[in-house]
Amino acid sequence: MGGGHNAVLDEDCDFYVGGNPFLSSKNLSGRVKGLIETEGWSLMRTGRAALVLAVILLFFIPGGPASATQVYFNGRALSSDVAPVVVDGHVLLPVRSLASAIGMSLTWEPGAGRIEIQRQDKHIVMHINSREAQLNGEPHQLRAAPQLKDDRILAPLTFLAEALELTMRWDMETAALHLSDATIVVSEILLCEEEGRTRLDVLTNTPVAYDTILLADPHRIVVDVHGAKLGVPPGEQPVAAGVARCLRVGQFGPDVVRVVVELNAPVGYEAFAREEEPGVALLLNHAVDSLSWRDTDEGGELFIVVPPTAPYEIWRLVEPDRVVIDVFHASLNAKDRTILLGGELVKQVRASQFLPNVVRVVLDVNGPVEAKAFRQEGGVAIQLGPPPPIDLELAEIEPGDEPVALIKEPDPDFPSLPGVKEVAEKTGKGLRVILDPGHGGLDPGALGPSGSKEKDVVLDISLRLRDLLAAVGCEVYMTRDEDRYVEFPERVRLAKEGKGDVFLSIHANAFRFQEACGTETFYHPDKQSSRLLAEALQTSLMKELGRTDRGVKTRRDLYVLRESSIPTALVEVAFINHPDEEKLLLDPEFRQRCAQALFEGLSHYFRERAGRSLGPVPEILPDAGENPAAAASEG
Amino acid sequence: MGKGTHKTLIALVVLLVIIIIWALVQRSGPPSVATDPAGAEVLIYLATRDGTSLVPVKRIVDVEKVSPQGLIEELLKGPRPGEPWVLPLPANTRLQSVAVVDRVAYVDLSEEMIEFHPGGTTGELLTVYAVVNTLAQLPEVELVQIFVGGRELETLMGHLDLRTPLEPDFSLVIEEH
Repeated sequence: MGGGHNAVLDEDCDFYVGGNPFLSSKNLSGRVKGLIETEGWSLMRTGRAALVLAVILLFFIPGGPASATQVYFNGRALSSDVAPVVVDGHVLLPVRSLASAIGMSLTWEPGAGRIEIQRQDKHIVMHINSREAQLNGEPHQLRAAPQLKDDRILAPLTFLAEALELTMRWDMETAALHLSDATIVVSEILLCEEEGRTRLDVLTNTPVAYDTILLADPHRIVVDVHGAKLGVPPGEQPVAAGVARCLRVGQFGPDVVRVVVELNAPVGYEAFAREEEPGVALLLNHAVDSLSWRDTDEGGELFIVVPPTAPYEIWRLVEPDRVVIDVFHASLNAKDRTILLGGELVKQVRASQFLPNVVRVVLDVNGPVEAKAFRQEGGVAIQLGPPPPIDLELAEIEPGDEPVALIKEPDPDFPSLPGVKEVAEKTGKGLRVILDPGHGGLDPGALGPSGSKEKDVVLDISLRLRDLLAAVGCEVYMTRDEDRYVEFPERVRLAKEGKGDVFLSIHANAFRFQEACGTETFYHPDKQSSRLLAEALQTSLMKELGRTDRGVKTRRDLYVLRESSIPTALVEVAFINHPDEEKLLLDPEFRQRCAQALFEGLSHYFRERAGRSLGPVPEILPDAGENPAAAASEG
Repeated sequence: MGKGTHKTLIALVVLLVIIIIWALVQRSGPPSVATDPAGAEVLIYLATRDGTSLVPVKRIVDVEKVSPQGLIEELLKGPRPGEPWVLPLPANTRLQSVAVVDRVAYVDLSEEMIEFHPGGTTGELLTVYAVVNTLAQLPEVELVQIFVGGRELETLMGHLDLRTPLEPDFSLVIEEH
């Protein structure tokens, strides 16, 4: 009595509700009694009775919209016809709507009130108003009888879930019921050291699909296990295993378990499916933290700070003479990657990430030298001295000891693009367009349910648009034309200096829930031309793509809109986390239509603003095989 | 019977009057936050399921919870069963600290805020202004700056400029109906 937060249900149901702020004894009216079906309630076994009870109570809150309960099957939202209903204190599902949604056959004999369901190897027979049922020929006692109400066949949810071997999960936060076919459960997460390398193991009950992403600031590896539920408590745990310092685990969306390893250094890794038991394993690279040089009587000594177990190899290159040290399973974390010496023996030392898992240190030497490498505490020392009387055996000459990732400076002079078909009438001549594909490199942007990345699809749309614009003579500058990370200041540098007629930022949208979909365009309210631009783009996108119109919106706080001093708009062509729109974004034909719509929007804008038309959309075929999914980068 | 009952009755009436006056005095506090002996009414900003808007949702909290910390904790609890709104922050986000200096609230949230964030301009806007609008209902808060893992952010998900404190944004808000 009296506002207590604990309540014990009727003795028929031995579930105890404790400490739930949403519940008080007065909510537990007599109508709730006998509601809970004990059999087959899978969540009960996991000790989340309180949670389930609270969800059940959702139906009893006066005025509470019971229809707000959205049902998902394998992560896809089902039509609202399938929402669970409560009849006489039992949670029932409309069978007919469910049948078509999850692919089961339903035979209904109205005369006999007989319901027959077949799904894969599961065969169910039930009768209206009878608690006797059959599952694959075996009799089964139901806690609640199927009912006929308003011409709808209603059957007990828990029995259906159990009989069809569906996993059932209530999401309190979103008032959603998740049903899924397979039960992939992340059962254990382990961090250990293997031959000196940090190893992460994510154990599951069946083999799984997974994705990994390397994020910066702070350096983190994200592992997404698809179609999985978390079988361990979510949360954060500091760890001390090699380069790993913290481990975080949680459910990311209804069907993805996300594991995050926070790192002391930005190291690469190898990810692979576990063999002995199912799951995912990651082996992290050693970090090569620094290089230092000191002169000695014989010549000099290079010291490479690296864990003692990192394997390495020393060899020579000639013409010009070089000494090369390769450190394997290693990532370069040293700030100073070049040591200029200009000495008698050694000109300079250069370090680079030669391959994703190999750090290469090159000593440019003046002619033949003697080089010896040996382990010391804290790393590897390389001693250099004058050439020995007999030459070392020459190693094979290999090309490509240059750093793999050269940072390209964007060319501010709007170079005309090669390889674009000439058109007779250069209608866009003199117009300068800056295209800004969102995100890139370490920043994947939003993710689609099947693992697609915003950075890839928006780059592809931007490249298609670039080709269209270049074909009519526009000068196009891209803030990035490959999968690389671009800092904000670099993105807007030209637009801030007023170089260009239009700045167009191209994105794909996302929200935590899959109901969000459609197209929207943002602009800065202080800039009239930007408004014209945004409206032209949105109108054109609506006409061409026909997705939900979320409108043209003003924002003062979006970075590129705020910093740019030329007409600027940011378009969100579609929601990549919406299953249907993700499919569209992965379709090259749709991305071409996006590019065409943007072209037409720009054309409209130039006509209104400058009395210039870009003319019809040029018919050019984009390069075949431009598959954004294939362009995904591994850190 | 007679006299004793009378005295008790008078005492009760006096007590009742005192309680009523006290309750009235309590009510005339700051206009944005209504208080009464049982608790104070505050707003948390949740989102519509389709991600078009924020919705101010009323909550009754203990009077001492009418603080930056109390409000963020209340926000992070998300919607109650039956409410059609959703929490526009990753559900496992935790509050690390919040401090108000010169009318600016500096709120530090855990790494999950980024790591479990789905991205998108819409997603980022609703996340950020759910926090900003919720805090800015306090009379002592005018601007809000969001930190994650103790770090100042250039941006949360690559769209919003978070280098400076933000004002609340009511253009994103629709009224609860």
